[in-house]
Amino acid sequence: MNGAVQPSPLGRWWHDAGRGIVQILPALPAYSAIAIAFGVLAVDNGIAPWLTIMMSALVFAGTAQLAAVPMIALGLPPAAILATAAVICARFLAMSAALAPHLRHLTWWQRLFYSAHIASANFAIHVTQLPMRQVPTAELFAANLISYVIWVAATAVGAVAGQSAGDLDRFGIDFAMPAMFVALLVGTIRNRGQAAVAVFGGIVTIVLLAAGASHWTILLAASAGCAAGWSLHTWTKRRSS
Amino acid sequence: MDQTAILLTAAGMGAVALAIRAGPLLLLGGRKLPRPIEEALHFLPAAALAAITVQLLVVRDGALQFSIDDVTWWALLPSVAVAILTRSTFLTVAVGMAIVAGSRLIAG
Repeated sequence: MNGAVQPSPLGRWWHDAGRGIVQILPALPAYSAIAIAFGVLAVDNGIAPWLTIMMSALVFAGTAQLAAVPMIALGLPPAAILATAAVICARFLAMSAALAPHLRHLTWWQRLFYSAHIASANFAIHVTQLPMRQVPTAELFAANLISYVIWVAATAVGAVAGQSAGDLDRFGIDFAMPAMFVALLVGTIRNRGQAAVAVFGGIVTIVLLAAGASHWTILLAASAGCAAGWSLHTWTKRRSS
Repeated sequence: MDQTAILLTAAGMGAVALAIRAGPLLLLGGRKLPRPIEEALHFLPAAALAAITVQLLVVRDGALQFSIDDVTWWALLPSVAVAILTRSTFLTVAVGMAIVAGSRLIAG
């Protein structure tokens, strides 16, 4: 008889959820700083604090929200604001497509719920983890939900406490997100092909930004990197056969 | 814009963001894709992460900016080294933030 104590299903669920939360922790200071900045900006532009918080709860997309604030303040038509949001959110197409092959085990409504909370940091964590192991559902959803809760809560802090939050960049918070992405990018690269794709994707990003591609940059650079990687893979396979 | 219009606009933005986020997951997630697409998607994480990382590093206030005075560039190399040596996200972020905060403290 095996003497090891098996955790209960609830105990296992908490363990998995806790692991998801721990993984997302390094990104939370950066999320909080951006959400506080959004809260301050929105209230300064005349949007009521409760609407500012609702916007974070409904949209959960920092750049799109920050871009919408001056447009709302100027009284631009909602269609223009929605079109701008669609362009800015184009990067989520690449993220969602990259995750899709690894989330087939989820039901359609779980995939819908998961997709509602896709953001840069949890995408980066999950796209690194999913090809290596079967990530438990509780771990996936916990990382997403904690990001969402912190995002909305920090928006509330910014909307209510306003300018008294001070300059958080002096603590290096503005470097938290780039540093996390550096770590996750390094973790993703497992062979020369992927390293070449990452370098190519980075160069294309700079070229596109210099050319003024703006909010299309990530989608276009990721697609170009993906196509280059596939071409390199196909060429290498043909050469070796 | 009155409060109802702002709320409806925010709801519309949420719907747009959800449609974009959910589209590929719902359309591609439930079926086996053709082999070339599966092979190409294998490279998407590295390409997307590189694109996001570079954008986070070089875009300031919505514009492309490189400056030797920017302390985040000085923190980048040690952060990459820590990431390669430790493979720890937490340590990479902690070291990077400490270098940036320390540099700003020294610079006043």
